[in-house]
Amino acid sequence: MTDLVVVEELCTYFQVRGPTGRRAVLHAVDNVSFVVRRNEILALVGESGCGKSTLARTILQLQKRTSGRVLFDGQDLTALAAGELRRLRRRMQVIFQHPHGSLDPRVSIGQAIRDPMDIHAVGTMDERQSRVEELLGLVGLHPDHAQRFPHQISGGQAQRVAIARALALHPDFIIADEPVSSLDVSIQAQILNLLADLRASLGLTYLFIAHNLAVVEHFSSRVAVMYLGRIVELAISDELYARPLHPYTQALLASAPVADPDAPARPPAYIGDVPNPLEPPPGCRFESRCPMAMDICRQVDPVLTEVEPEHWVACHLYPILQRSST
Amino acid sequence: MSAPIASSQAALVRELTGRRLSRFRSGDLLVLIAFLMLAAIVVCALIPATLAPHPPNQQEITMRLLPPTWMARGDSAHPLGTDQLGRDLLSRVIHGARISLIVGLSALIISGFIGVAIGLLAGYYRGWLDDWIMRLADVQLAIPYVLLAIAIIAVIGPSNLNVVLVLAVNGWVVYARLARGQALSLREQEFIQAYRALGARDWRIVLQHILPNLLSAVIVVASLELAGIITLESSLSFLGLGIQPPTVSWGYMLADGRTYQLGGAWWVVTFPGLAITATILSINVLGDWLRDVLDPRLKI
Repeated sequence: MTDLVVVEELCTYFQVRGPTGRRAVLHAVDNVSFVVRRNEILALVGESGCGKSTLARTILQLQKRTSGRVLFDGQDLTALAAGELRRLRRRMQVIFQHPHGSLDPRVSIGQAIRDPMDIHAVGTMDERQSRVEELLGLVGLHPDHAQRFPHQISGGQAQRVAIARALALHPDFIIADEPVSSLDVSIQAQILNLLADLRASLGLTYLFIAHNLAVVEHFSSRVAVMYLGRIVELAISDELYARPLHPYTQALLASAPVADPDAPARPPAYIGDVPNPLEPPPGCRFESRCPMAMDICRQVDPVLTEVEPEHWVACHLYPILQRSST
Repeated sequence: MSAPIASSQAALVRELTGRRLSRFRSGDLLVLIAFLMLAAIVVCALIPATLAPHPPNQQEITMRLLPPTWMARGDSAHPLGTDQLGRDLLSRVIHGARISLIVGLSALIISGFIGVAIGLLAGYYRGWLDDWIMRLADVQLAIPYVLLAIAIIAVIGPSNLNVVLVLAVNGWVVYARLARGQALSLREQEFIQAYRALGARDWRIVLQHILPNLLSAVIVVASLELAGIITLESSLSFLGLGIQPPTVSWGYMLADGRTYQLGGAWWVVTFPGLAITATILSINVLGDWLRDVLDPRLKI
């Protein structure tokens, strides 16, 4: 079985009160389905507020789902009893965006890395201690860092500690929720390299969340693009960067800055704002900003379809093309 | 060209660091004074009979309302003077330390413990539990405290233990609200999410990661609350619902002596008042200091 994580028609809705005090439903994650294959890096890309983090939290059962299923290694996480879920949590971990925010300010570095083993009562006291030292070495920290507190280390070091803590229980699957977004560019590369090395040596599988396509270009095996609670395009990384199909993906790629100060200023790739997520349009959610919008886009919500082998897209432009060609 | 700028910068740096250093020193001195003051009060509370020159309730009607010893009619046997029944004020202030500290601290600890526990549960679990607890807190805040205290004392009867209970019942709301608010914000922090993802049980998250992070706020609020509790104890004692004579309490001394103060016998209320002020002030200073010490972010 090559699929480690299978997400099936997952929905996470929030009851919110609108500006007028009226109750409304926010569709943060809306009917999302995809798989994460063993040993791959699946990047999940989208702008702020599109539901990436909520999707991550829902997969990990940190957030209650509204409907749908999440299968981890064949087991439905949404149907597990609390104790079984807790045991399964050893195999899936998370790394957050804010390195200092993900460490308890009152817990020393050594204890933070040791905590997962204490929680699951893994090994003897001595074994836990030597594992802490081993993990510190694995993420490139000095054993002396164990005595320090989070405020005494840098952001990059704190992110290494968070990675070490996530690795303590030998997980199979790691969700990295924008792990480098709040780090300096030079540190970003270090952390990305560390994550790539760890995947190779420990056989890890990542779901890597980013709001920036450039960060994941050379890092990921496949890329999923999310817009307003939906996955709009999913393809092998090289394919997606070479031939983006969805107009939103095209716009995202076109808006990435070019490292050339003399390059001519480009017109904005797409116009307008994200529609109100409380009242998503009835048709395609990108329709209001899409340069290629057609009549059908205003009426029918496109479904994520495999228009070419390994290339999925939710857009009315493509099934039509395919239908005419077959 | 850059020389004058450099020298003025150096002067600025010197001034700033000098100011900071002197502030540190005066802060430390304040903590030391507060510590010594509180230590003296605690010693008074522990061995009042050894320290006090007279028994606290020994009356000498001929010696009533004597001023402090340094004044014209002062008597060296009564350094702080006597009250309207000729009781030695110094002895009464020393004896009053015991009951004020016992009542204040036990009411503080009981209400703090209950309030923090309830607030943690409400803030961490939210839902109907949160709604019910917070509405209960609102209801209690809506009832004037003295009315509530009279009602409770009327049912359970006045005694020193019941004063503690009434004060504790009054105090829990503050801690519950504080702990709830802190728990609400902490539970959304990434480190709490990380521990949930690690499979930590709720009790572990609450006791090891939420409680320690809100404790410094609780300690500071508690040190401020103590002032309120001692004041409330004195108002209860004034109404006859608090500490019952012959037990000596500073609040009762204040209430009891207030009519004579108008007749010029200011010392009858000033010395118990000073004792209350000194206690509250030193506890506040120590509470502030304790918060700094407990915060690992401020360690160098």
